[in-house]
Amino acid sequence: MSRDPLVVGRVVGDVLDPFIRSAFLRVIYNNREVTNGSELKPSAVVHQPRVDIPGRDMRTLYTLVMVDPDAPSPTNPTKREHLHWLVTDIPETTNSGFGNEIVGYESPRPTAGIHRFVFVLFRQEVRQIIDKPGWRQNFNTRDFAALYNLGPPVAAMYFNCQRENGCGGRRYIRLTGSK
Amino acid sequence: MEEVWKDISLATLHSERPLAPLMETTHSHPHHHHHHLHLHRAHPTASPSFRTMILQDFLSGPCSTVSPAAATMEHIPLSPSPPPLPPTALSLNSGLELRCLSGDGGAAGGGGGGGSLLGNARSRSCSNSNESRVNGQAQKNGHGGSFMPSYFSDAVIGPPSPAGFFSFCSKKRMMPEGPVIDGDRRYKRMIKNRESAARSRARKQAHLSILLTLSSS
Repeated sequence: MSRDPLVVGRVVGDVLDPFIRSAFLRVIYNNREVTNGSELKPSAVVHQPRVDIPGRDMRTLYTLVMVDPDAPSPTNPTKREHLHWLVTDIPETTNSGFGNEIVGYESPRPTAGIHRFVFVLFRQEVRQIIDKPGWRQNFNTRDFAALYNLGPPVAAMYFNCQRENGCGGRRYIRLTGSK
Repeated sequence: MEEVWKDISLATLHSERPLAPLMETTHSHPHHHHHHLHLHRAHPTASPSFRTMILQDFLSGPCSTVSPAAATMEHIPLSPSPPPLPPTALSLNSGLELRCLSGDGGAAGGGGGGGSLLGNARSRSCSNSNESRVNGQAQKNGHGGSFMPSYFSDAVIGPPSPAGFFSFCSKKRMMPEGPVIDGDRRYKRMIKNRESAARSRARKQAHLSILLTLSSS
């Protein structure tokens, strides 16, 4: 029986509380859409992706957060969560390039273990000013959302990533757009 | 006090597992000073002297008893003195786990098995003083006994014989610390390994669910 990879992969729990998906989120690296829960190599995610937010109403604004909850390693996530990217005021129907980049994209560079990299989308009620966090590590998505009254997430997805020459994890059948 | 010694001596003679009679006696005589003694000896840190001390205590006990009891005392050195444990613990391993939980200050009963223990294992500064552990054990007996066995029963084969345990620890004694630290490390390693396995299973399941979704659409 299939369950949401976000739940099975424990993103819901470690990073997010259970939520109801009410928006769409597409993460596209190198013209390839990332399947939720798939694995990517660091070389494939060096540059920031294009995050599409399909919809109808351009007046609706979204905030995008990208974090690594497994920093520095999944067994010892003392720096959970490491903030990789923070973009606000993204209008619906457009993509992350149209938003306000508060924290620039940092390429995933996992050194130990297989990390999850999570994209979280929040719907903003108003155009709001979000302060740049002082540092990237030990970011807390839940607290961040509470601080800026963003409410529950409306969409999320994640991918797995290990170091370039890493050979951890099981050997799976390849999924399109991964590895 | 004499009847206690009779209980111990006769019970150790009759039973195959020396652990059981000790548990019975301590359970039935919770205020016996030897119960406290066993708690204080909760850690086989000074291993050879620990055993002789216990034996001396045993031997010094029945000085005033009848000679049959004294005669039976001589059999006690032959039977391996069991690892000193709180009555509700199962083995040395779970004894250490109780100690680990004691550092968390009362969260023994709460939380799931793996998750909370992970938090405890990471956050606690495992203090190495015997007294704090003793207090923790004394307090946590009730909690630990009910909580630990279900989680660790599969990992715990059985109480290792003290002789075997001590020799095992002496092999590992490259460090100046002792078997206590090694057990702690092993425990942490076991927990981390289990979590890693759980994460791997989660990844596999997530992958399978993706495949199912793709195949069904």
